Amino acid sequence: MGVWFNEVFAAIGSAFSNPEFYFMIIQSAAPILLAALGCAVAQKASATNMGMEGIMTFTALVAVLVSSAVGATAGGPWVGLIAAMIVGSLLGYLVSVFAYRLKIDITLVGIALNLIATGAAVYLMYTLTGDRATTTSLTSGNLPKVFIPGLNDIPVIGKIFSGHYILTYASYVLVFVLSFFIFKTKTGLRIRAVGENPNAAESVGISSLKIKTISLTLSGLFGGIAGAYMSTCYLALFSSGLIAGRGFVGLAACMMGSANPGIVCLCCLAFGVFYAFSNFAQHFELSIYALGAVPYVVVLIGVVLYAVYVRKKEQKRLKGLDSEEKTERAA
Amino acid sequence: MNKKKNFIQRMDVEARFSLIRTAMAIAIGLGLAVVLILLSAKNPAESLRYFFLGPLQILNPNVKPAIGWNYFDYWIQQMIPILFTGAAVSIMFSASKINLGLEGSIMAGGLACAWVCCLLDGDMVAKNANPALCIILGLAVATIAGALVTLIPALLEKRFGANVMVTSLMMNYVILYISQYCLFSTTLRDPKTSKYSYQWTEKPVLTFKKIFGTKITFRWGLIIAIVVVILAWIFLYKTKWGFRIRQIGQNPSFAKYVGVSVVGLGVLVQVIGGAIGGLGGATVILGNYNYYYGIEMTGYGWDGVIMAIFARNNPKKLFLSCAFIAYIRAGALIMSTQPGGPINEMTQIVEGVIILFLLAERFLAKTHRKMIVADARDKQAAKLAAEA
Repeated sequence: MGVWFNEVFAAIGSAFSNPEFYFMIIQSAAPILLAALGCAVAQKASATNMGMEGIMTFTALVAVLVSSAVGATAGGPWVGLIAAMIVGSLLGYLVSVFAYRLKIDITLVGIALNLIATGAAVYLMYTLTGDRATTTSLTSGNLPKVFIPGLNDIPVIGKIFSGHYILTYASYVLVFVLSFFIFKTKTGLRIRAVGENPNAAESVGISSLKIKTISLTLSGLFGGIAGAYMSTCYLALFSSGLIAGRGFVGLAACMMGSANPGIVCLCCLAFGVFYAFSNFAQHFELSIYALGAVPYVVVLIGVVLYAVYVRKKEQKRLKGLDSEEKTERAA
Repeated sequence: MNKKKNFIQRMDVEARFSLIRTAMAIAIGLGLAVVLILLSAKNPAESLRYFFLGPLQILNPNVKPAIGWNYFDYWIQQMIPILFTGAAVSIMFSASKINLGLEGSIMAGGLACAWVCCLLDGDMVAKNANPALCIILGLAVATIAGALVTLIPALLEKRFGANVMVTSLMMNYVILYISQYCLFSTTLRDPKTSKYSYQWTEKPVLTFKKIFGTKITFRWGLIIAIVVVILAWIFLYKTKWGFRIRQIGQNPSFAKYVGVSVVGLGVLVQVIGGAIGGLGGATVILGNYNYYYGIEMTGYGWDGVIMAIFARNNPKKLFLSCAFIAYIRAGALIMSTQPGGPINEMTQIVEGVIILFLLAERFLAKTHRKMIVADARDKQAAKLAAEA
């Protein structure tokens, strides 16, 4: 056991002193971040998008199929990305139709969507390519990597921050964009209003149905980008186990970050550390199967800590109200 | 008015509508299945025949199954795990507890059972214990292990208010990796193989092939599953606990007001659900294998949600729903083993579409209204006729 601990410490030490490790954190946090942002925009309108996993799976396949149809060298991945975004938005819109027009519990819609989307992805893959497991027979290509001119030459920082896929940068930029959208625009304000109190929002003439439809469609759009990320950046193919719960982890990150893009981003980076470490530790002959569980245990603990924090905050607020009342009464 | 009524006309209007809606949903689903098969099969007529009649091929002595087992048995085999998980989710959803950790329970149950069996019997310890002891201890430990998996998210919710849906989802992945760890990094794995545990008996202990010299395979798993579903029904519909649980599901505020322990019963249903899941996982392992092999998600946990939706959280209706879904799956499996047949994952699409239409409140809402109006008119007319 002692030897094992020494090995772990050695792995941790060498990981944290290696710029590649930080590079990996940024890389592996990006798809979760995209998924989490998608869940966040829906969650702000109090719509829990359980179907994120399914949306990602299906759009990942769409990106690969479109990309290889257009041609990997003829800008296929870009067209694939756009197709994935369109299909993702459509799926998000469908979730809102089933949940709010046909009146089904949104969690169950998400579960059904996951079922249909994973089934449909495998069915399409098999029907179109004849493969059951992966699309290795198609050449779909990657989106380009970006080497930032000035940054690239700085020794350590260049290695960490330069040379990512363009979508990786985009995902971190989207945090700011979504933040601005939710907190500074009219639609964002309405989304928050509907999420916090639909009746109050309705009373001032905001259609909660319309707002929820918009936010779920946006959520699907983010899901589409996340799916395209997995199949055109992370790997250049689609396989049936490609998403591997990243949609669910994104949902967990969104819950932990109380659907605020900034905090959600920090949570995703924290998960990224553990994802990167469980990847990195493979070089060290550690028993990687136990380490695979680490990110999920961390998410679990994170969700609990967040719940404790919320409860404490609520108690503090109540206490504050209580003491205010007392001072009022005394006055 | 003395016209004899058939059983459909004698039904309550709501029950009749529910029947119509279910039939419509299933018809849409099966129609979709036909379309999917026609689109992708190389030999559509053959594929359709296997899809719709495959599991019944036992009646035809000339048909030889492709994988050595008889096709009828596919159906039974598919039915066992979803009976278990359907019962488990029905109980949890009856109290509106969306605990999705059943997938983890199934894996934990299978793993725990395999450990016990390996320790008692077989090549790992080079002993030959009584197989009955193996089965009983294995199932018992599996039940406890399964209950623990759903208990953790339940307690985290009770103590800290953590979102049970998210924590239970994460639990599934934790259990998956623990199971992989046990298989690859401990003494459980048979060094002669790459990804299987030691064998504990020579063949699966809960299955008896070709009883009485017939083609039929007898599975103890089915008996256990049926007993569990019946017990679940009795628990939910014939005990005061079940009554309170259903009350919580329908109106938690009212339940709390009349003095039902909402939090305590909420934890209880999740423990029961997890225990059933663990038992199911062990039954599947003991019924189909004589070694453990658990390096990917089984999907049975999600199947439980589907079955609970089909049965509207009533275990009594699980038998028919599970038989139906298992039949589709068995048919698709048989079809996909034929050369040029479509892939069996298409059943997921069909199932997903069926549950969406089963759940949609607004689906056929106009017909519903018309039926209610017609029913009311009939009753009014009958009343007037009786008065006159």
